[in-house]
Amino acid sequence: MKETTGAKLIVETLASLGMKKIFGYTGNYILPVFDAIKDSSIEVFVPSSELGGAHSADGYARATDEVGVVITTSGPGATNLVTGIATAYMDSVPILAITANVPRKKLGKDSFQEVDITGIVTPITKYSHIITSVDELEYEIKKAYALASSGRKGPVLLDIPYDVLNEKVCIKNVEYSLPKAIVPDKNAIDKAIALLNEAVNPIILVGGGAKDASKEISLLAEKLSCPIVTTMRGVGAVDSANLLGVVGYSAPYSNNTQFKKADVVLALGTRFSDKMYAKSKGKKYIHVDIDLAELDKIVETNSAILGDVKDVLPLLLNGVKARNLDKKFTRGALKKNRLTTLASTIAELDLTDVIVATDVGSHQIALLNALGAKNHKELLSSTGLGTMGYGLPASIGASIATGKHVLLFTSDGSFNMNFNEISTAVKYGVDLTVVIANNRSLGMIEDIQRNKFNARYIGIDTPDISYALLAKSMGAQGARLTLPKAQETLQKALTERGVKIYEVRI
Amino acid sequence: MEKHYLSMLVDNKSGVLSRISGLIARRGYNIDSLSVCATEDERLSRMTIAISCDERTFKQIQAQLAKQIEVEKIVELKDSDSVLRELLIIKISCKNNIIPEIVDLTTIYKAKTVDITESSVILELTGRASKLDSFIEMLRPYGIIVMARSGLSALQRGATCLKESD
Repeated sequence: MKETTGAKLIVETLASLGMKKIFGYTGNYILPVFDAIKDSSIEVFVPSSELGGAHSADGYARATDEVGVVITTSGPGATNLVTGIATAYMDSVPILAITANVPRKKLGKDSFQEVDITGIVTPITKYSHIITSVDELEYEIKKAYALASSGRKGPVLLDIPYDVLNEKVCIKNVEYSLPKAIVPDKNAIDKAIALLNEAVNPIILVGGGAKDASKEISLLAEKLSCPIVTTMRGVGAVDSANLLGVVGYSAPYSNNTQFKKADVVLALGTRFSDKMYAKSKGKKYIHVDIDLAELDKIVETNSAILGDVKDVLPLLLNGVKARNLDKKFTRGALKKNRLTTLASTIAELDLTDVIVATDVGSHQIALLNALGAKNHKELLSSTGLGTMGYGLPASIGASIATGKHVLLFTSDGSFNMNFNEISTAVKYGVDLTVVIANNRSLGMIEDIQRNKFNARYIGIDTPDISYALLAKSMGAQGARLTLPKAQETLQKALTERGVKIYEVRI
Repeated sequence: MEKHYLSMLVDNKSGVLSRISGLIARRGYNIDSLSVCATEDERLSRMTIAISCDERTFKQIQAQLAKQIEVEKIVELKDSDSVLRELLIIKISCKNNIIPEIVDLTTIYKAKTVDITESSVILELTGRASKLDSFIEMLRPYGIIVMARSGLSALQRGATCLKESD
């Protein structure tokens, strides 16, 4: 057995798990790990802040379906990850966060840059653990990695005291074995088939857990001659003529009407967020999900199927009778305004091999509604937590992971939160086109204040920033675009290298 | 609302109790008791949870707990096939003249007297929660100074048992 140090073991174990690119911000107690990276096959990408690193690891994971890794130092380095971890948790994105902590003898003494990060992230991780002995380090990294990327994916965190990083240890090549895959229950499948065969107006509701089953969903919708709707997280999961679009509070009226008319809902990989309709009254629900705790949590189901959507759908496809109805499905659209027009312009660009990202707010809703029946499996959008400022660092992570061009549609409010990461994008030479829909206001909050607070506006104005100059100051290109010019300029930008930031006044 | 009982084997590590109790708090489940104790295997602790809720909420709690990585095993204990016990230690005001009455009560309930002074007595009772409730009610007129209940501990009856290897 080879003797090494805790820090080197971390890096070698990550490399053995196939990690080549990770995100990290240095600091006192994480230094041994950074030092070990210098001699390894792993490349570390350094953001402007740890939060940027966490979102980049999230973007990496969404774009590749692999675990995104972020490493930081103790104290504020660790707490800066929290929003990024919570974002990943709410959208079931696999992230492995590794934080350093003070040496074991200083733990619990309120030492400089000491926080109980495993305690802080407990409710927003699948697993969080502080290493107390260097002997458990290798196993715990493999365990955390496996847990993040299996079942319902999600973030995990390992906290490692500084003295453990420097301690001598032998690499034992231990393995962590995952629980057995779930076999869907035949009775529940039979019940679901019977419900679908008896349905008059069935509908398929697609969530984020169905992203690997695009083909099967389309085939089933064709066989049932039924419409497909998606949650916000499910946008881009399916490419089908039967797709209507999003349902819920931020969806077109016609889509919601279709959903209301349905008598049987086949819900695939969704947690029935409060932002969508989930009223059971008068409907029968078939719910397929990999997480037992999601079944019967919000809606009472008539058939609850525990399993991976892509394993369950072939079984349903086999059992349901073809309905062969001559139905046409009309996609819903949001009311036309300058913002939705810009979103449609972006959605209609040739986005082959381009990863699409959004930030959070009205622009996000406009683009997610406009994207249409195209498969955007790698779509980057914080839909569960609604994290403003997510878009730019996530785009950087996705571009670093794949080498693809990323198109980020953002807004003044969201972009202002993390624009310090422009310099990160420039530093690593990523290909990134950013479109800022600038209305000099937090648009979604302005709408709520108009409707619910008698137009008493407060706290919504955004500062007057020259985004072109801001871009240039960090080595990117920047310009203001008019709406009619947007299509031509953006399509050209997507074929060019480098970071380009376009502001469109809305 | 029905009474439900869960028995769990969880990893004997720091932070596990916090994860479980945090989950219960965050999701707004109102539990009657939670007790944690060592087991014959030092890697594992046993948690026993008593909850009063409807069947659907109970299934949801069970599913939320079962998916925690640190929960190795979870089983519902039914009243009929389990031994459910709780410990009560209670201190009451007790002048000399009422000692015979207290002795009668401890005899009836099979409680123990564990401490006695001129003005107070501490009694100990193990049993089902309902028996403890009844004992407390009988003692209330004498003046309860302070009391502590352990929360429920439970095991399945018969040969079946909750072990990691099952």
